[in-house]
Amino acid sequence: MSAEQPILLVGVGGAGCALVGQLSNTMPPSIRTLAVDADASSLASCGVVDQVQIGRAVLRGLGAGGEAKMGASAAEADLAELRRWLAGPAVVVFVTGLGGGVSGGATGVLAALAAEAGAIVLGLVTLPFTHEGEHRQSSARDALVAINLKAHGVVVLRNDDLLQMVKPEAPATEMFAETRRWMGSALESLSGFFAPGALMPLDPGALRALFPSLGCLTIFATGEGEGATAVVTAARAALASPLLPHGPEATRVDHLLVQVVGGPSLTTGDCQAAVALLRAELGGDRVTLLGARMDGALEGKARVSILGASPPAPPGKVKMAKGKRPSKAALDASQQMFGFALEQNLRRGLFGMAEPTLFNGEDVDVPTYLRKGIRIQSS
Amino acid sequence: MKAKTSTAPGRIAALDIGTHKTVVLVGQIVDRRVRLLGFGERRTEGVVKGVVQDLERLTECVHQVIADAERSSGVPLHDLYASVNGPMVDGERVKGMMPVPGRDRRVTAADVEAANLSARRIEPPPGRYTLLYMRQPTLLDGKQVANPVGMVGERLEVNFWRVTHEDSTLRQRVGMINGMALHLRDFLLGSHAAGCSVVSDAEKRTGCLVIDFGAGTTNWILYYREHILCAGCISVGGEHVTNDLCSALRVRREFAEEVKLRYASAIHRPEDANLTILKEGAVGGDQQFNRGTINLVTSVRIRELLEQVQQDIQTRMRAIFGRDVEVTPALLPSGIILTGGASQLAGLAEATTQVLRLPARLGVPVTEAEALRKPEYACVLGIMAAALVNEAPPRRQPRGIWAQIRALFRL
Repeated sequence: MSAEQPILLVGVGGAGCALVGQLSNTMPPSIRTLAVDADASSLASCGVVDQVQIGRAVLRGLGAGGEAKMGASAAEADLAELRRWLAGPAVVVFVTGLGGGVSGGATGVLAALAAEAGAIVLGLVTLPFTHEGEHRQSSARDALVAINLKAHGVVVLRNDDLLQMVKPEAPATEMFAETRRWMGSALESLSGFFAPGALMPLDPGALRALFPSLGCLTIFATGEGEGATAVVTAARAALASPLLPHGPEATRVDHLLVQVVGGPSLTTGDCQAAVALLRAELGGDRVTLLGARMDGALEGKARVSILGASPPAPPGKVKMAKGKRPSKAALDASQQMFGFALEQNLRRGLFGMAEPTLFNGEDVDVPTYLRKGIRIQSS
Repeated sequence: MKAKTSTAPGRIAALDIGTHKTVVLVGQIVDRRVRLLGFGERRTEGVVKGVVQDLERLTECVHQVIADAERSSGVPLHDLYASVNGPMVDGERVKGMMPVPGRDRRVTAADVEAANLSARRIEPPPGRYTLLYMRQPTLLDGKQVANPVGMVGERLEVNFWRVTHEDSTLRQRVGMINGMALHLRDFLLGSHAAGCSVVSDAEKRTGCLVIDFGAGTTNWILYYREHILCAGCISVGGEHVTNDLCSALRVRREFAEEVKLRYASAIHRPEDANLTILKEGAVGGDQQFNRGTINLVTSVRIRELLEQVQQDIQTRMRAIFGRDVEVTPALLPSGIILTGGASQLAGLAEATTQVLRLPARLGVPVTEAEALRKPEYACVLGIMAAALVNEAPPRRQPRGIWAQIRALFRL
């Protein structure tokens, strides 16, 4: 929790702890790691040095069994210890795989604690595959709404989208490697705010401008390119990434951070061209931040990552039925719905604001090919 | 608002509010046929997947369409027929039973009326309003009879396909039309209206399935032995294909719509991967798209939609017959007729045959007006056709509401 490590990366639940354990090998020096779980065996095997086992008195060293309520009460049983951990860092990033009990219940509690302590709270969360069933899907959706309201930004990785990234015949390990790669580059672009010696350094305080309030809609994408126009190619690859939520109208964000990592030949002209392309596609009309860093290993190549955020609309703007005075409960509900709708918007595209149509427990507004894991060739 | 005086005799108007567009037709009955007088059409505002999201915008849009139709026909409208469709509409079979009284066990008209009433006494589910009763086979001692009056038997059974509508949204719709100082003559089930304009009486007699592919919803209706056996709606339509293409190709809605109309097919073939289409771009340069990707995305959506229709049919058949009834060519010799705006997707008939294992064809409405000979106008033209039956001078004076309803839906 020293000044050299302003980012705390917290793995919550089984999947979150395992991911943080694997990521810790390649972590930039500005990031400290912590594993939080109720399940003693998952903590023992994750390989993260700093650990907090929550809910020992409630769950006796076992997991929450898919019950978010149990996960939340486990975290509430150890508030004092968690608060100690979350008090110091400027940025707290939660990594978790939603759908389970600890991840769904405890993450919201932890996020609230970190926000209370004054940190910028972000989440990197994965959503279960559609084929994992309606129960896991719906508990993940509920948990996401809860976390969205308590964190500044939540970047969502849908496991369904990973099926677009890897070949059907590839081993399952490749899918997890893809998740790690994605999270690793998200962390890299965050740590860019605190990395010394950048070509175009970012001001750590500017991170507040990127995430001005709780409940921002957040997008993240990354792409690589090589050749003469490596930076622009990388920017285009980031835009085309299947992991970037893409709807017909909803991809625009108010605040945009573009992080360029290139070889020694990186020019400001390249960076400008990439930013122009990304702004045309994604917006960033209110705040656009650009960071650039040189990496000797990337000769002739470039990597571009984009982190975008839109603060939620104030509740007054939520349209209520005519002639009805909205009660406080209704406003809270609309705020919640709105937060959820924002996240949903991106994937459900044209149907973002409409009631989801469920058929056999699946939200059929989401493109069929994504839900069924049918891999399409990227154009 | 003060109600206007009634429309000139023999003049009828039909309103169809779809997710994509709203159409009003105005016609004059001449010699038991409708001569079209005018026509209004606009892009619908404020409706998503067949559900009203913004009533004010929709009301304004409908108002403009009516004004357009009045201008184009040169006559003021005072009343109209409207269709109902979409997820707010539901249906089920209701049954009325009656032991035939009297010593001679001969069925009288009063007995039929009593059986009808007993069917009507069945309450709709809470929060729903009964909109229509559509006649299904009448059984006398378990045997189907066309008209039981005068026949001898022990037990009379009448069946109806009862169409119900969600209460609050129906009030909205009626209020919207009344608010324009228009009198709503009647509601018609949209899928049945579409069926009336693209399916012949002979096809209905032998049995067929009509699937109306709209922009926001897909409505189907199954005709068997001259009657409506069941009907249903899936809240997936052509806009879902557009949305899927937006997501897969990473393009804006307008371009995805154009790709869907010009290039997409419901059948995906391996050789499609060799074809590309080009989009000229401003900032990012030109972009190429693979036909294989387009057709794969489209075909998996359409296949899923057809499987949903199939599942919906099976669920409703199970509710009616209490057991699984396969939809086979023996049940529906006339196969499947596809209509509605989204039915113009290339390869849709072939995909339908593959999934539902019945011959399928595209149904184009028959009309004098060449501009309206498109599947997207099937519903509004069908409302006209059904209204014509209602408006035509009856052979006998209808005695009550039942007779009127029966006359309206005489197939």
